[in-house]
Amino acid sequence: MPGSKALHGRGPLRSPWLGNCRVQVPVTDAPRKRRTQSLGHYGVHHVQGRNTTTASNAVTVKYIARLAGQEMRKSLLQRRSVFPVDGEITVIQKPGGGKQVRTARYPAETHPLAREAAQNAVDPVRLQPVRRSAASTYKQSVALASCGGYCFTGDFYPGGASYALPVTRQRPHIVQRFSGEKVGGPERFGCRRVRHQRKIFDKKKAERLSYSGCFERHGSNLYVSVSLVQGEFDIPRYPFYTHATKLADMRYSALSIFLNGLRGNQSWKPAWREPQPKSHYDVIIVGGGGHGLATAYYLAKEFGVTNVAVIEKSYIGSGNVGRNTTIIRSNYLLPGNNPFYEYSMKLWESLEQELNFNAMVSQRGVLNLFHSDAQRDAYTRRGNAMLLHGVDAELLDRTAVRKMLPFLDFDNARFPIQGGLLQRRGGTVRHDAVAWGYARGADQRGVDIIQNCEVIGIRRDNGRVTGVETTKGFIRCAKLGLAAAGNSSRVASMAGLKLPIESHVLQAFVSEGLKPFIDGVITFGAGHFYVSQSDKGGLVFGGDIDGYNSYAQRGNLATVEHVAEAGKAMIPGISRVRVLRSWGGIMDMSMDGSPIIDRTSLDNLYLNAGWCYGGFKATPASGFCFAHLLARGVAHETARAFRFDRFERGHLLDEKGQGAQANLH
Amino acid sequence: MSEYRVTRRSALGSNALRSERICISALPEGHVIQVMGKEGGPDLGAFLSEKIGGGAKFAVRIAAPFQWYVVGDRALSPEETDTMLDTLHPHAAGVDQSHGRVRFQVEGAMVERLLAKGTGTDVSVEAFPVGHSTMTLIGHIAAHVTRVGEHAFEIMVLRGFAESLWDDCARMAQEFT
Amino acid sequence: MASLVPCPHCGMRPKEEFTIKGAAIARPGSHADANEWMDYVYLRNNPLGTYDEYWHHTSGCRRWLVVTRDTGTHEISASCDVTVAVKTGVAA
Repeated sequence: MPGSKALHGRGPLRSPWLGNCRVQVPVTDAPRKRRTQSLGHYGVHHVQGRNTTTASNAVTVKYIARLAGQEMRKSLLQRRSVFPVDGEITVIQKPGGGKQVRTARYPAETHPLAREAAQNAVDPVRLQPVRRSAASTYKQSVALASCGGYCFTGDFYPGGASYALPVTRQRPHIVQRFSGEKVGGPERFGCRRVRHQRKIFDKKKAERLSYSGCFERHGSNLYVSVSLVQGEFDIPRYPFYTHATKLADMRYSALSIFLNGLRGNQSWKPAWREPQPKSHYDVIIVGGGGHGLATAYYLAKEFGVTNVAVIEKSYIGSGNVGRNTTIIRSNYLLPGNNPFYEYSMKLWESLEQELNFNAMVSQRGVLNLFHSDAQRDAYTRRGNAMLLHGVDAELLDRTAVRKMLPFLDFDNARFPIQGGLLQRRGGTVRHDAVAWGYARGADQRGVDIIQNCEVIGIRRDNGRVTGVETTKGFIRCAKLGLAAAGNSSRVASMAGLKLPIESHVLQAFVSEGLKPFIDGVITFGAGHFYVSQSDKGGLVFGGDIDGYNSYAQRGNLATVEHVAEAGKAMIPGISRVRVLRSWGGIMDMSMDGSPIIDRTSLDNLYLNAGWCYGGFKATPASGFCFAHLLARGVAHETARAFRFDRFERGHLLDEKGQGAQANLH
Repeated sequence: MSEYRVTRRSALGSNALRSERICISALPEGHVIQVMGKEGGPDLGAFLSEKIGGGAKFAVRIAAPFQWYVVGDRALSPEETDTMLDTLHPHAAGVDQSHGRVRFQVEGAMVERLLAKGTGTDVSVEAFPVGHSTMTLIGHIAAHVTRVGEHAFEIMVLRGFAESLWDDCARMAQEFT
Repeated sequence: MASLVPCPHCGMRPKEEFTIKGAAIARPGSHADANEWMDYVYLRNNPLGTYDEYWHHTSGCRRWLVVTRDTGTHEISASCDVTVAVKTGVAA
């Protein structure tokens, strides 16, 4: 690729995509002193490996030139919007309340990238294979042009930049903020100032574009971090095509599918970045599962904490969020549980709109069968408790169940079906999409999702956590949240905590595809079996945990047999259905069957654990409540019962009444 | 008088399933005495065989560590039972389970294959020689299995489960009959 | 762990025959304080690796066993009667 050689080895380029980048700049002088320095250069594209980064940059410039014509090319290059740090950068600094303006200059003409781009751009034929829209390039370039500040917003236009406004609380490790200088364009496209960060998300006008970024100084190095928080932006003088394309890039919609189809589906971009860890975060969340990602998402969206990292030892969705049987419900009995799960249900109901992600939330109903008078009474009680909490519940008699599911074994000699407790708002959700949707939403708001990065230690000092040791190095944090269900005990032990939790394996199964015959979710009341039918036709089913401590993510044939038997006892017709695949997930089995969302004995260490086999349905509320706790330091009103100290206080939350025997919950 | 009044009948009656390769037959509901020795105490096998088993072959079976069953085809009178239990003193304690456990016999060339369908225990003659006995699951029912011949096993099961286990065995035997 | 579990009295047996109690940890003495009971009743080391557990051979010899098992691989390295385990200090 032309140009790659010229730029090879130019400095610490780090994983750039969509305007997120990190540049290391040596600081040799006191920040107050006015001086000129090079800020290095950014990469602007998602890249597979480090070596292709610079080549990718060059390509972008070329393509802009082809699409927009010579004039636009000139304009772009003059405005340095592709390489904004090559242009004038005004550094505004307020040490001790005073204001000081600093300017760093790096002339575009002398930049090798710009020179090379200008040379290459004259030959449109060579640019043909590159599939990239001008709009998407603008998005990235503008993101860079406007980088700086903690978090700021504005309307952007080609070649323009915005003023930055600090909108978060002062953070001591951030030594300075800066804004790109306005280098051209009509005044009317100038920025809108936003006083409070909430408004970025609240006000429609302000929602057009927001970024977070900061300078951080660690030792003698200065780090610039920029990330796109959220954004749509106008390019007023652009033709419809690019405008629409820009829309298509930002949100998933029928239009974006259509427009991307026109471009041969070459323009889809990764839904989240792959950043390298920064040296410090306000909040680090250990565990990139559903709960961790949801926590990060709500931290950024609802609580304005965007300097957040989610650290995942494997890839996101590799754990329980991709291993469950996708059931959502809020049919709980106890007052400590029900409002929380109902809150989760409400969040599920608006999740897809909120995330702009199709999670296939399907409220197809969850039916718990009962088989005896005593069980009917217990379910009646539970149904009434649900109604008292404002949750929908219906008690179906045998006739109603038979009408709904005629193929069940109603006259089973041992377990005749007498009826069922139905929650129509319960159902299923495509579990992978939950992880992906939250990841994308969090990433768009500036959260760093760091995959393949295992926490191997938690560094403490004087009763506080100072950071985490990971396989990618030490990362400092102001607050640490553990959301590593399945491995909670192991992670917590790094901080010297011993949890009331055992790790157990729960298996799940998928059968071959069948014609649709099960509308909702059915649970067997006389054995361990629950089943729903996926949109592909496979029966998705499971049973009880295997019963022994395990970290192996696979189970035992004894449980397979039991589940198959229970399933056949409930639906005799499935006896010849073949199982396509099965797997295991590791459960945090707590000693009373209920979760923990609470602070710990360490001042800034927060725990989200103990979800037993009910974590998936709780994902949105767990994320919200944990974010609430992390951001505000107090429990969310629906999660107050999930206290860490309830065991020693004797206030157990034991929905099944099994006592302190983890494998019975 | 209720038509459901309590009557005395045997659990399996004189059920029998006979074929060339497999044969299942109920055994007389004689006596079953469970003997519990002291934890860590001596092996009472020989003592039991002589004193209360009357020296009969297969009368004494190991139930568990320090526990034995003494079984026989003859039903004992209460007096005979009391005498037998007194004999155990002070070496062990005994419990009369004659009405609690039921025995039947499975025999024939296919007997190992039949049992292997229901239990995870190795029932080959090398691992499970004649005279050996053990408690194990057959399907979902715990049963005490004793090898009484090269191709013959005696199965003892709690009375309430006897019919179920019989039915299970009969079904498992279907392909061999 | 395959589906077979070694019983020191009965030999290899299917897992269905057993009931699993959990961590083989020492019960505190009668004068233990609340913290010790808290630790015993609720808190678990929950390690990845070798783990001693109480298993009951419910459908077999009905003895309590201490089964030493790897929680990562499910491999069982040892099992012994609980009385033996107490004598050798494995459990209490």
